Amino acid sequence: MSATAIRYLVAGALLGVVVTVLAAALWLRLSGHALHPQPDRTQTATAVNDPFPTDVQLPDLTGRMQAFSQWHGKLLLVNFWATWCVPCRKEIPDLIAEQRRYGSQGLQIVGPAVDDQKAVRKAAPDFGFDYPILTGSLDPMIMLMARLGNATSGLPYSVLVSPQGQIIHRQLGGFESEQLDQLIRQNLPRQADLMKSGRQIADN
Amino acid sequence: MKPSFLLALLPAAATAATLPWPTASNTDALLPAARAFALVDAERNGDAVVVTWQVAPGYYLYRDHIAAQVLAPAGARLGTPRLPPAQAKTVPQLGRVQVYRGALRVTWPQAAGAPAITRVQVSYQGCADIGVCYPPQTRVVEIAAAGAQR
Repeated sequence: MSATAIRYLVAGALLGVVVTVLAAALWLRLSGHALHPQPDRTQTATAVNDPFPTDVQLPDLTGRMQAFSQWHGKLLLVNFWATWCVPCRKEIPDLIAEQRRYGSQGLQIVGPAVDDQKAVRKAAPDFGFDYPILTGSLDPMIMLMARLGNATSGLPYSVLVSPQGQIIHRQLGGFESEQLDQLIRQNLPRQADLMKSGRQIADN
Repeated sequence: MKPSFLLALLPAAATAATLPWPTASNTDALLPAARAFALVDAERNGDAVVVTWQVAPGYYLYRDHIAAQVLAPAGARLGTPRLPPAQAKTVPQLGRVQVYRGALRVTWPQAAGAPAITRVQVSYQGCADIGVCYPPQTRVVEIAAAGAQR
């Protein structure tokens, strides 16, 4: 076989490989095959700038109902978590530190647990939470997350709510320490607004 | 056409085959649990119930969180599941855990001659590599004989 013929043979073989790979990639995309996760278009229950629902309430670890409306006027970070969720557990020390650092400046973190209540009660002391932990049955908690824009029920899931009650950030997956700190510092209420809000709560 | 030109196309073809993939900044690409951990088949095979999953790339199931409970007939029982070898994954705070990726087939044996199991509740749990975990999943599945029309 001549050198030219060998070159054409190699070229033909390579062309075959390229065409096969491209065709496979095209088929996978067109067929919606689960090989590659596609965007979930249903995840639009609430959007950034929508108001946070005013009727949400959940029991705390003592069983007492806690209405989210009590935190109106504060920068509210709602962090859904679970004891079995490793990425959730990873970011909890950062959340505790942020609450300690900015609590007096109007930050309020709350942690609804998408988990068995007994497991949460048992694990909570080890975390040393300095913010309220809320509980609830699995299905209602999943529905609440869906209502707040998390259709996949993945954890951790966080919703940041402005002192005026508007959703300003939603995040599926954990925070990096620096990102969390920056997000909170950028959105803390002004001191004057905080005092005004405190007066309104006292008046009520 | 020179062979070197065709070689240059290979990385592009490979790239086309790997998009889109969920990343830490693209969690919108996250699959719902039913697609991330697709339970594709549940059948009775001899004296055993066999359940098959297809775990999507970028996701994994925890070996220790796979379980099944008989719903019908009443009183029927499943034996200890036969699980294939799992992959070790090091997870901060948990240490080394055993996980499954891709196709997974779990067999629950039954005692020989026991009444055929017709309905089972299967539970399982997993996460995405990007750092998102799903709540425990529970599915009730009807068990047909292997090869039976559904």
